[in-house]
Amino acid sequence: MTEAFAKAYYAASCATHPIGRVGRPHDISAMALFLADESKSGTWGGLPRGGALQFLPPHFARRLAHTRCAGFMTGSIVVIDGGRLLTASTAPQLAAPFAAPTPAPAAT
Amino acid sequence: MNDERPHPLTVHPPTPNHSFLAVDLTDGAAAAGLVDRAVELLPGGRLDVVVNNAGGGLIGQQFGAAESAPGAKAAAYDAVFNLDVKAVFLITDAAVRHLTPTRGIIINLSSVAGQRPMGGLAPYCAAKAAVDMLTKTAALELAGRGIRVNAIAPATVETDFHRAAGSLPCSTGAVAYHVSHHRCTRHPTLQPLQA
Repeated sequence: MTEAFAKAYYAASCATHPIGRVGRPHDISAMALFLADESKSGTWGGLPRGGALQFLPPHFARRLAHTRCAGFMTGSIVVIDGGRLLTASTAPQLAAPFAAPTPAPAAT
Repeated sequence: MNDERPHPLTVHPPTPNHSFLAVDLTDGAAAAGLVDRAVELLPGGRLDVVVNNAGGGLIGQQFGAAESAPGAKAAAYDAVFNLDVKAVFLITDAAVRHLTPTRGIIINLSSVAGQRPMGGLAPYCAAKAAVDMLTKTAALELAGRGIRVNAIAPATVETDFHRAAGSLPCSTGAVAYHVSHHRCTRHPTLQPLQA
Protein backbone atom coordinates (compact mmCIF):
# COMPACT_ATOMS: atom_id res chain seq x y z
CA MET A 1 0.00 0.00 0.00
CA THR A 2 1.09 3.52 -0.61
CA GLU A 3 1.05 6.29 1.97
CA ALA A 4 -2.08 7.71 0.32
CA PHE A 5 -3.73 4.32 0.50
CA ALA A 6 -2.78 4.01 4.16
CA LYS A 7 -4.31 7.41 4.95
CA ALA A 8 -7.49 6.57 3.10
CA TYR A 9 -7.63 3.23 4.86
CA TYR A 10 -7.28 4.87 8.27
CA ALA A 11 -10.03 7.35 7.44
CA ALA A 12 -12.36 4.59 6.29
CA SER A 13 -11.44 2.45 9.30
CA CYS A 14 -12.86 4.98 11.75
CA ALA A 15 -16.29 3.64 10.90
CA THR A 16 -15.35 0.05 11.73
CA HIS A 17 -13.84 0.95 15.10
CA PRO A 18 -16.76 1.84 17.42
CA ILE A 19 -14.58 4.28 19.34
CA GLY A 20 -14.47 6.31 16.13
CA ARG A 21 -10.79 6.36 15.40
CA VAL A 22 -7.99 3.95 14.66
CA GLY A 23 -5.37 3.22 17.27
CA ARG A 24 -2.23 5.17 17.96
CA PRO A 25 1.05 3.56 18.94
CA HIS A 26 0.64 4.83 22.51
CA ASP A 27 -2.58 2.83 22.85
CA ILE A 28 -0.55 -0.33 22.40
CA SER A 29 2.71 0.65 24.08
CA ALA A 30 0.83 1.50 27.29
CA MET A 31 -0.27 -2.12 27.55
CA ALA A 32 3.24 -3.32 26.78
CA LEU A 33 4.49 -1.24 29.71
CA PHE A 34 1.76 -2.59 31.93
CA LEU A 35 2.66 -6.16 31.03
CA ALA A 36 6.33 -5.41 31.62
CA ASP A 37 5.56 -5.09 35.26
CA GLU A 38 7.95 -7.04 37.42
CA SER A 39 6.72 -10.36 38.70
CA LYS A 40 8.80 -10.63 41.83
CA SER A 41 7.28 -7.94 43.99
CA GLY A 42 3.86 -7.71 42.45
CA THR A 43 4.23 -3.95 42.09
CA TRP A 44 5.69 -1.65 39.48
CA GLY A 45 8.08 -0.58 42.17
CA GLY A 46 9.71 -3.96 41.85
CA LEU A 47 11.06 -3.14 38.43
CA PRO A 48 14.84 -3.17 38.46
CA ARG A 49 16.74 0.06 37.99
CA GLY A 50 17.17 0.39 34.27
CA GLY A 51 13.95 -1.53 33.65
CA ALA A 52 10.82 -0.29 31.94
CA LEU A 53 10.25 2.43 34.56
CA GLN A 54 13.14 4.42 33.16
CA PHE A 55 11.05 5.15 30.08
CA LEU A 56 8.29 6.82 32.07
CA PRO A 57 8.12 10.42 33.24
CA PRO A 58 9.09 10.54 36.93
CA HIS A 59 5.66 11.51 38.25
CA PHE A 60 4.08 8.64 36.35
CA ALA A 61 6.71 6.18 37.55
CA ARG A 62 6.15 7.23 41.19
CA ARG A 63 2.43 6.71 40.84
CA LEU A 64 2.89 3.31 39.26
CA ALA A 65 5.28 2.28 42.00
CA HIS A 66 2.22 2.00 44.24
CA THR A 67 0.00 0.35 41.66
CA ARG A 68 -0.79 -3.31 41.50
CA CYS A 69 0.76 -4.93 38.49
CA ALA A 70 0.23 -7.55 35.83
CA GLY A 71 2.25 -10.15 37.70
CA PHE A 72 -0.65 -12.59 37.66
CA MET A 73 -1.16 -12.36 33.90
CA THR A 74 0.24 -15.03 31.62
CA GLY A 75 -1.04 -16.69 28.48
CA SER A 76 -3.46 -13.82 27.91
CA ILE A 77 -4.25 -12.30 24.54
CA VAL A 78 -5.06 -8.69 25.35
CA VAL A 79 -7.27 -7.18 22.68
CA ILE A 80 -6.85 -3.41 22.26
CA ASP A 81 -8.97 -2.60 19.27
CA GLY A 82 -11.28 0.35 19.85
CA GLY A 83 -14.14 -2.16 19.79
CA ARG A 84 -13.18 -3.47 16.35
CA LEU A 85 -13.99 -7.08 17.18
CA LEU A 86 -17.47 -6.05 18.26
CA THR A 87 -18.29 -5.12 14.70
CA ALA A 88 -15.91 -7.39 12.80
CA SER A 89 -17.58 -9.09 9.93
CA THR A 90 -16.48 -11.17 7.01
CA ALA A 91 -18.95 -9.39 4.75
CA PRO A 92 -17.36 -9.04 1.30
CA GLN A 93 -17.36 -5.26 1.37
CA LEU A 94 -15.19 -5.31 4.49
CA ALA A 95 -12.77 -7.68 2.82
CA ALA A 96 -12.27 -5.32 -0.09
CA PRO A 97 -9.31 -3.33 1.25
CA PHE A 98 -7.18 -6.44 1.34
CA ALA A 99 -8.47 -8.29 -1.67
CA ALA A 100 -6.91 -6.17 -4.40
CA PRO A 101 -4.27 -8.15 -6.27
CA THR A 102 -0.81 -6.75 -5.75
CA PRO A 103 2.51 -7.59 -7.30
CA ALA A 104 3.86 -10.70 -5.65
CA PRO A 105 7.03 -10.34 -3.61
CA ALA A 106 10.22 -11.56 -5.11
CA ALA A 107 11.08 -15.10 -4.20
CA THR A 108 12.68 -15.33 -0.80
CA MET B 1 12.82 -9.09 -0.50
CA ASN B 2 15.74 -7.28 -1.99
CA ASP B 3 19.38 -8.14 -1.91
CA GLU B 4 20.53 -4.80 -0.55
CA ARG B 5 19.48 -5.34 3.04
CA PRO B 6 22.14 -4.75 5.67
CA HIS B 7 24.12 -7.68 6.84
CA PRO B 8 22.39 -9.46 9.72
CA LEU B 9 23.52 -8.36 13.15
CA THR B 10 24.67 -4.96 12.02
CA VAL B 11 25.28 -2.91 15.14
CA HIS B 12 24.09 0.66 14.90
CA PRO B 13 25.67 3.39 16.99
CA PRO B 14 24.07 3.14 20.43
CA THR B 15 22.31 6.02 22.14
CA PRO B 16 23.05 6.50 25.85
CA ASN B 17 20.20 4.20 26.84
CA HIS B 18 19.65 2.12 23.77
CA SER B 19 21.45 -0.15 21.40
CA PHE B 20 20.14 -1.21 18.05
CA LEU B 21 20.69 -4.38 16.10
CA ALA B 22 19.32 -4.70 12.59
CA VAL B 23 18.48 -8.31 11.90
CA ASP B 24 16.51 -9.96 9.12
CA LEU B 25 14.11 -12.00 11.23
CA THR B 26 12.97 -13.99 8.19
CA ASP B 27 16.39 -15.61 8.44
CA GLY B 28 15.87 -18.30 11.05
CA ALA B 29 19.52 -18.55 12.08
CA ALA B 30 19.79 -14.78 12.47
CA ALA B 31 16.61 -14.66 14.54
CA ALA B 32 17.84 -17.43 16.81
CA GLY B 33 21.18 -15.69 17.26
CA LEU B 34 19.67 -12.28 17.93
CA VAL B 35 18.92 -12.85 21.59
CA ASP B 36 22.43 -13.84 22.64
CA ARG B 37 23.86 -10.94 20.65
CA ALA B 38 21.40 -8.48 22.22
CA VAL B 39 22.06 -9.69 25.75
CA GLU B 40 25.74 -8.93 25.27
CA LEU B 41 24.78 -5.28 24.77
CA LEU B 42 22.60 -5.06 27.87
CA PRO B 43 23.99 -3.75 31.15
CA GLY B 44 25.12 -6.70 33.19
CA GLY B 45 23.92 -9.04 30.49
CA ARG B 46 20.53 -8.95 32.19
CA LEU B 47 17.41 -9.61 30.10
CA ASP B 48 14.07 -8.67 31.66
CA VAL B 49 11.66 -8.14 28.77
CA VAL B 50 11.35 -9.47 25.23
CA VAL B 51 8.85 -7.81 22.89
CA ASN B 52 8.27 -9.71 19.67
CA ASN B 53 7.08 -6.68 17.75
CA ALA B 54 8.32 -7.18 14.21
CA GLY B 55 5.70 -8.49 11.85
CA GLY B 56 3.91 -7.91 8.63
CA GLY B 57 1.39 -9.15 6.15
CA LEU B 58 0.89 -9.39 2.43
CA ILE B 59 -2.40 -8.32 0.90
CA GLY B 60 -4.03 -9.80 -2.17
CA GLN B 61 -3.65 -13.43 -1.11
CA GLN B 62 -7.10 -14.62 -2.12
CA PHE B 63 -7.64 -18.34 -2.47
CA GLY B 64 -8.21 -19.35 -6.06
CA ALA B 65 -6.70 -16.21 -7.58
CA ALA B 66 -4.19 -16.68 -10.36
CA GLU B 67 -0.55 -16.58 -9.33
CA SER B 68 1.35 -13.52 -10.54
CA ALA B 69 4.41 -15.72 -11.00
CA PRO B 70 5.18 -19.39 -10.48
CA GLY B 71 5.70 -20.03 -6.79
CA ALA B 72 4.46 -16.60 -5.77
CA LYS B 73 1.89 -17.94 -3.35
CA ALA B 74 4.33 -20.26 -1.62
CA ALA B 75 6.81 -17.41 -1.38
CA ALA B 76 4.20 -15.10 0.13
CA TYR B 77 3.20 -17.70 2.68
CA ASP B 78 6.81 -18.35 3.66
CA ALA B 79 7.60 -14.65 3.92
CA VAL B 80 4.70 -14.01 6.28
CA PHE B 81 5.11 -17.12 8.41
CA ASN B 82 8.88 -16.84 8.68
CA LEU B 83 8.62 -13.33 10.06
CA ASP B 84 5.39 -13.50 12.06
CA VAL B 85 5.61 -17.01 13.49
CA LYS B 86 8.97 -18.69 13.05
CA ALA B 87 10.93 -15.71 14.37
CA VAL B 88 8.69 -15.48 17.44
CA PHE B 89 9.17 -19.19 18.04
CA LEU B 90 12.95 -19.05 17.72
CA ILE B 91 13.40 -15.85 19.71
CA THR B 92 11.22 -17.17 22.51
CA ASP B 93 13.25 -20.37 22.57
CA ALA B 94 16.55 -18.49 22.67
CA ALA B 95 15.34 -16.06 25.35
CA VAL B 96 14.30 -18.64 27.92
CA ARG B 97 17.72 -19.20 29.40
CA HIS B 98 18.25 -15.46 29.80
CA LEU B 99 14.78 -14.76 31.20
CA THR B 100 14.86 -17.59 33.73
CA PRO B 101 17.24 -15.94 36.23
CA THR B 102 15.40 -12.61 36.02
CA ARG B 103 11.91 -14.13 36.00
CA GLY B 104 11.39 -11.96 32.96
CA ILE B 105 8.50 -11.61 30.55
CA ILE B 106 7.70 -11.97 26.87
CA ILE B 107 5.18 -9.80 25.02
CA ASN B 108 4.09 -10.92 21.57
CA LEU B 109 2.36 -8.52 19.20
CA SER B 110 -0.56 -10.37 17.69
CA SER B 111 -3.58 -8.88 15.91
CA VAL B 112 -7.35 -9.01 15.87
CA ALA B 113 -6.68 -10.67 12.50
CA GLY B 114 -5.75 -13.74 14.52
CA GLN B 115 -9.32 -13.94 15.78
CA ARG B 116 -11.36 -12.82 12.75
CA PRO B 117 -10.80 -13.73 9.11
CA MET B 118 -10.10 -10.95 6.63
CA GLY B 119 -10.36 -11.52 2.89
CA GLY B 120 -7.09 -11.61 1.02
CA LEU B 121 -5.09 -11.96 4.21
CA ALA B 122 -5.12 -15.71 4.82
CA PRO B 123 -1.39 -16.05 5.55
CA TYR B 124 -1.42 -13.06 7.91
CA CYS B 125 -4.59 -14.13 9.75
CA ALA B 126 -3.30 -17.68 10.13
CA ALA B 127 0.10 -16.41 11.27
CA LYS B 128 -1.43 -14.22 13.96
CA ALA B 129 -3.63 -17.08 15.15
CA ALA B 130 -0.41 -19.06 15.42
CA VAL B 131 1.16 -16.27 17.47
CA ASP B 132 -1.75 -16.48 19.91
CA MET B 133 -1.20 -20.19 20.39
CA LEU B 134 2.57 -19.81 20.64
CA THR B 135 1.85 -17.33 23.41
CA LYS B 136 -0.40 -19.70 25.29
CA THR B 137 1.89 -22.69 24.85
CA ALA B 138 4.94 -20.73 25.99
CA ALA B 139 3.00 -19.36 28.95
CA LEU B 140 2.08 -22.88 29.99
CA GLU B 141 5.59 -24.23 29.61
CA LEU B 142 7.42 -21.30 31.17
CA ALA B 143 5.15 -20.50 34.10
CA GLY B 144 7.19 -22.85 36.25
CA ARG B 145 10.28 -20.74 35.56
CA GLY B 146 8.48 -17.57 36.56
CA ILE B 147 8.44 -16.31 32.98
CA ARG B 148 5.15 -14.75 31.96
CA VAL B 149 4.12 -14.67 28.30
CA ASN B 150 1.27 -12.50 27.02
CA ALA B 151 0.16 -11.13 23.68
CA ILE B 152 -1.37 -7.83 22.65
CA ALA B 153 -3.88 -7.94 19.79
CA PRO B 154 -4.41 -4.50 18.26
CA ALA B 155 -6.84 -3.55 15.53
CA THR B 156 -5.83 -0.84 13.07
CA VAL B 157 -3.10 1.41 14.46
CA GLU B 158 -1.45 4.28 12.67
CA THR B 159 2.10 3.10 12.10
CA ASP B 160 4.38 2.44 9.16
CA PHE B 161 2.75 -0.97 8.98
CA HIS B 162 0.10 -0.19 6.40
CA ARG B 163 2.36 1.73 4.08
CA ALA B 164 4.59 -1.33 4.01
CA ALA B 165 1.90 -4.00 3.95
CA GLY B 166 2.37 -4.75 0.28
CA SER B 167 6.07 -5.32 0.53
CA LEU B 168 7.46 -7.57 3.20
CA PRO B 169 9.63 -7.40 5.12
CA CYS B 170 8.40 -4.49 7.16
CA SER B 171 8.46 -3.48 10.76
CA THR B 172 5.89 -2.26 13.21
CA GLY B 173 8.58 -0.60 15.22
CA ALA B 174 6.45 2.41 16.09
CA VAL B 175 5.30 0.75 19.28
CA ALA B 176 8.87 0.24 20.35
CA TYR B 177 9.61 3.90 19.73
CA HIS B 178 6.72 4.88 21.94
CA VAL B 179 7.59 2.51 24.75
CA SER B 180 10.89 4.29 24.99
CA HIS B 181 10.03 7.74 23.68
CA HIS B 182 10.80 9.55 26.91
CA ARG B 183 14.44 8.62 26.61
CA CYS B 184 14.89 8.04 22.93
CA THR B 185 13.89 9.95 19.87
CA ARG B 186 13.00 7.98 16.82
CA HIS B 187 16.21 6.39 15.74
CA PRO B 188 17.21 7.28 12.18
CA THR B 189 18.32 3.78 11.36
CA LEU B 190 14.93 2.41 12.34
CA GLN B 191 12.88 4.57 10.03
CA PRO B 192 10.59 2.44 7.88
CA LEU B 193 12.66 -0.68 7.99
CA GLN B 194 13.08 -2.07 4.53
CA ALA B 195 16.16 -4.01 5.50
